[in-house]
Amino acid sequence: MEKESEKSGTKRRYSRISSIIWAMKRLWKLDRSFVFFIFASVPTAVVLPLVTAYFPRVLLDHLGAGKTFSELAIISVGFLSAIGLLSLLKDFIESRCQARRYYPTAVYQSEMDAFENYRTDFENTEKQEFRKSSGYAQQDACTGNCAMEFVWGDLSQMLIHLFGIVTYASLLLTLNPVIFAVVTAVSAASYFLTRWQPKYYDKHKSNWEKEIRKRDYLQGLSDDFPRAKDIKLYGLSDWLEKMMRDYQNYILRWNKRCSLRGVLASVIAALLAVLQNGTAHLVLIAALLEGGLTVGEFVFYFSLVGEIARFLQGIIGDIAGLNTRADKIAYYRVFFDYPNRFNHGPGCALPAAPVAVEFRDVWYRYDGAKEDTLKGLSLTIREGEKLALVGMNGAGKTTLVKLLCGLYAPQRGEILVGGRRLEEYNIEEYYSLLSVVFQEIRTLAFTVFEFVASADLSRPAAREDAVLAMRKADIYEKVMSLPNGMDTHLMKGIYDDGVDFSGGELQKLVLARAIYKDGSLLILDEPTAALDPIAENNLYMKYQELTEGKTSVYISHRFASTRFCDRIVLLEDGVIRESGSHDELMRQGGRYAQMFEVQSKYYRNEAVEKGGNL
Amino acid sequence: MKRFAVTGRAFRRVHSYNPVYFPLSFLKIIFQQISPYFNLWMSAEIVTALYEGRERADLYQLVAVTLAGNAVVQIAGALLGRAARTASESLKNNEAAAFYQKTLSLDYEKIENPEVRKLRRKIIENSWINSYGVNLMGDMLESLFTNLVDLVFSAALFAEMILFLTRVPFRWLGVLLLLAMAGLTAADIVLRGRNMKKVSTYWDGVTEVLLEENRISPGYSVAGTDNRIYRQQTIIDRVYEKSNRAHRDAFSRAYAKIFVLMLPVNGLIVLSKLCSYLAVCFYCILGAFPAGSIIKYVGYLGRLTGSIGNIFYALNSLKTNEHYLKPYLEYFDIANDMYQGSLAVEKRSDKEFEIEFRDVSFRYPESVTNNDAGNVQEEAAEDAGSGAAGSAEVYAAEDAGSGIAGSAEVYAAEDAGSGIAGGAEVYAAEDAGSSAAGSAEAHTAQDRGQWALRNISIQLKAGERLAVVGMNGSGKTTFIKLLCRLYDPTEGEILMNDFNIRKYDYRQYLDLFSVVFQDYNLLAVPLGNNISSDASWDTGKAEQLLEEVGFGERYRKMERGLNTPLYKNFDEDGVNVSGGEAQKIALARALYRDAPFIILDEPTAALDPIAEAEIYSRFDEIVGDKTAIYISHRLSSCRFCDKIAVFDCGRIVQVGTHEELLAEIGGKYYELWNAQAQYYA
Repeated sequence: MEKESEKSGTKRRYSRISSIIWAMKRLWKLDRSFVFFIFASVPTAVVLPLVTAYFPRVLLDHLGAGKTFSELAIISVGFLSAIGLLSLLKDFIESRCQARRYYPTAVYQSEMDAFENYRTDFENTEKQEFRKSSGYAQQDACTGNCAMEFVWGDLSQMLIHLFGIVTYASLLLTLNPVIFAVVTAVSAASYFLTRWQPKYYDKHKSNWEKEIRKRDYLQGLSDDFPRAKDIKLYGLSDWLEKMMRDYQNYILRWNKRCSLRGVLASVIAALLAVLQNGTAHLVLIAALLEGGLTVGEFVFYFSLVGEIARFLQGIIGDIAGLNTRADKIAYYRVFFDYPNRFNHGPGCALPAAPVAVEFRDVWYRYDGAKEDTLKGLSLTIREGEKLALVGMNGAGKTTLVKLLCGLYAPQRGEILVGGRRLEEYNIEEYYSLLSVVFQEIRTLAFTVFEFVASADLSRPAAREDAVLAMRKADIYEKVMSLPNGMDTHLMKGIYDDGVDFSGGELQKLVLARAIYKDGSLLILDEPTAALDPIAENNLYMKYQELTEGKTSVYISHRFASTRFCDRIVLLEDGVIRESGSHDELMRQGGRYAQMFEVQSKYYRNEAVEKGGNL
Repeated sequence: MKRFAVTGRAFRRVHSYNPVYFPLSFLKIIFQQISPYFNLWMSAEIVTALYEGRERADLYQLVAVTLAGNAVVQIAGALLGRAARTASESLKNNEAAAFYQKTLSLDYEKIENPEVRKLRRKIIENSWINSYGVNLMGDMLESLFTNLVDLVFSAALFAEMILFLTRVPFRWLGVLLLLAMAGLTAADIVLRGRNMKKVSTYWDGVTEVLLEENRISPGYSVAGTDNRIYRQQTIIDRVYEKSNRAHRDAFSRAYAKIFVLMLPVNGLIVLSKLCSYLAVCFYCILGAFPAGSIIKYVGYLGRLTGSIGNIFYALNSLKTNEHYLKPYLEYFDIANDMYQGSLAVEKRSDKEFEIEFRDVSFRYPESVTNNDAGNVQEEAAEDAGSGAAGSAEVYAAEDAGSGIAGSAEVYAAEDAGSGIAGGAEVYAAEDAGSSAAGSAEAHTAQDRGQWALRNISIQLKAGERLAVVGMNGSGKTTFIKLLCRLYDPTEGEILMNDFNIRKYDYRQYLDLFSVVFQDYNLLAVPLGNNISSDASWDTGKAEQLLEEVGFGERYRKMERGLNTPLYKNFDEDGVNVSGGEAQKIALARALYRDAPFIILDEPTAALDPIAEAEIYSRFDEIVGDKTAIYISHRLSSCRFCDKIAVFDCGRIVQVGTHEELLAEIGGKYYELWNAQAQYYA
């Protein structure tokens, strides 16, 4: 029930009324005619059933009174044209509402995505709390019937039901208050009966929610072709299928239990209906026999009972629904309030290239981790220095890079670039200083040009610069061989001209992107992992040229790279263990020397014993 | 009924998933349909009794029958409904299992084939967008049955009415009114049939937009890091702004056009209703039946004409839906054409298996699922939206016009939006678990028609260690795929112990190999299952292997040990592992199998030098007496292999030991080696 308590926390932050008004204002700004049509539906929704019920009454009474055919014909034409016109109006309004209902959700969803992927601190997006908040906002305010633009629909429904009750009750009450009382009681009871199964479901869903995730994962393997390969190769298929079957059956058993409540509720509701309709019949028959009612009126009032029961159940649902809606809107608002550590407002002026960097006693711990990843790291990178960063997996190299990039903020200590703390800059402006090649490469369905030049599309010589960058990264020829050159889309299967690049080609492409951006801080994290030896060597040879006038950090497991950097820093267990030039560190004979030795022994020309044991 | 051959096949398939669902659902429909007739009938009885001024007791009896009848029908409906829902869930489960079995039984060639993948995705897409395909088929069959039941009931009661009419003197006016009603109904059916085609073209625009959104959304699943540093959001905003607006405009246009189109249809419905009222009133005055029956007969007439129209509509939708059923059937029709072999693989404890490639050449197949698959795609895309979604609207509009309640259909379209969101999630989840980056060089060589391998001849002795080196795209991975019989050679043959490998029993042959491909994938199930590739595992063996591959330290930090699920998409409490860690687990998985051949494709790409060195130094111990093939860009690995094969542009250009090859100054190996070794001099 952790989720529930957390959720109730968000309720307190925004009152229900304020959330409802907030959502109404937003939709009003986004699409006024949608709001207009939603409200236009109220009068027809109240009047149409009334007219429809009144028609047989008039007809029956006239027939009973022995009116002629032509009189009945006139009545029929009159009523049916009224019903026809009202239905037409209703259709028109409904059609307009339908047409407009998707757009707001799409816009809200896009805003959420943009916030998450771009506007908020990157660090937030990796926090469990933020992810949860995003999940609630997404599920509760941006999907299907939960979408928050329906707040107007809720209100119009409420108005329909309210007007309906007032109109119909005034008609019914003049006849007999007993019927009204019974209908009200039965409607209320029926409403709560319909809530029985959903409530039981909510109360017990923790019993199968996790299993649903597992079942869906296993079922989804039928669409996961890359994984299907491994499953086949290792002969896992039967076992996984058995597991899928077990989860399916487990969930099915629970669903049966839930639906049992639904069936019981339906049975009770059927009996309550007997009570309601029985009373109505008895009272109306009595009234008719006493002479206070015509046959037509009998039929009319009987259909009123049905309608009013619908409205009564409706209004109870509306009140509950509006409360839930308000809570859901609050999740959406709370999501956008997630606090940032970096400065997204005006900041101080950016330093001129090349910049100096200083880490002062920096501590960093990942969200939910038990241990610090960086433990009081201090490091100075001089202006224009070429730094090589080495260390074991998990030593904290990538964390250090993300801190330097302003993607993470340290819990303790500070990072200075150009003599100022990162928090003093506007963080988006700060990003413009950076040219980074991350270890993980994500392609998008951009054109090659867009992919390379996205950082600065409006630069006057953008295309020329992109060509230059691609040449430097050794990928220009490949790009030119594509059907539409650098206007070819990346990723197969999205656009018709889409192409998939191989791992090595992608690595060159992201390098081109970093070169195009021409930031004063160049950071390369394992930029050659997927390159063959020749391509790798080409990059090493160009490194001098690429880092001209920049401060650079090069991270690699391949120690060859440390030979063309000014200084090597060895990171171990979250702190800097060794620092110096290659020769200095080799002389020291410490960790670096050991690691270099381990890697280089295979490349030296003396014979290596079989099995690699020196 | 040849016209509905596709529906017939699909129905038989779906029906076989759960043979009780459709019977139950049809039974439920019969109960549902009784209710309105019963109520119309009973209310006529009561009203007539009131007119006739019958006894109170008589009236009460009628009321009691009405109430009891309704209660029985409602309760029976609820019970049947629950049984049908359970059956439907089990049907869905079995359907999912059928897809799972099908995908997992496909040949590798098919699994890697983009067309097959597209076909599967198409089926999923169809079901997102307004439930085309088997879902819609089920709905339409039920609607057809509902209306047939309606037709039977209302026709029977109409016959009763006609019987009454024959008892009164013949009047032209009455007959004309009835004929006019019939004529208007016929016109309405014809008009609706015509409109359906138009409506479907209106919906084409919408479906196109929805499909487009579905198609592009995986293309814009951005990394938060890249996005912030490289401002990709500007482009993404533009794309989504455009797509959101296109979405809105397409819906707005379609709804407006449909509204206008439906105006005459609605007019006809009102007129036909008017005729039915007039006819019934006319004959009532004539004395054919009591006044209490008017509502009853008008109601029957409405249902009679309505059900005829709806039957045509359901048949039409079934027909249009056949387009969307085709990919579904097609997928199950994909035939495996790889020869399965029958020769038993000798169980040799000495692992004396020798392999020989004899002048092998290979080209990736052009397109594996015949051209039909591709055609279906195009056809489907072309006709996207015809019928189904559109028709749902016709249905809705019609209901509204006739003033009858049941507007459930209106909401059919509403889910479309959330379907898209769902789709995006599916993609996201897919990415989440995927392990190492390296998306393989396979694609580069896969360009159609080019030789991926040409004239490969090489021998591999038992217990030998072979290093395979070469530039990106030189055919190294393809070589492995042929060896493991993921593909068969286009030319030449591969022999094991002097028999063509095609002759061996396929599964047994596969079991000879432990492979870690560059694009390996772990499953999100517990670590132990990943390593043992089975329901249970030998804890001692698994732990020892994890230690050997250098995962020991991390393993000891896992509180649930081998029961720890990997990643989060199977179990929320799963543990995320880094690329390097995943690589170690994959290695342990390969070793656990203890197969005579072990093949490692870039197994240390994500490892640090110490971890890499550990694997190198333990390589002999790890591999034991197995035959090993080691592919790497790190040429250092060649030092502990007996033999090196250098690949270049699909050919083997050099074979020999490290010393031999290095002596060939100016050779490819010399070039590759020095590119790396110079930095370690």
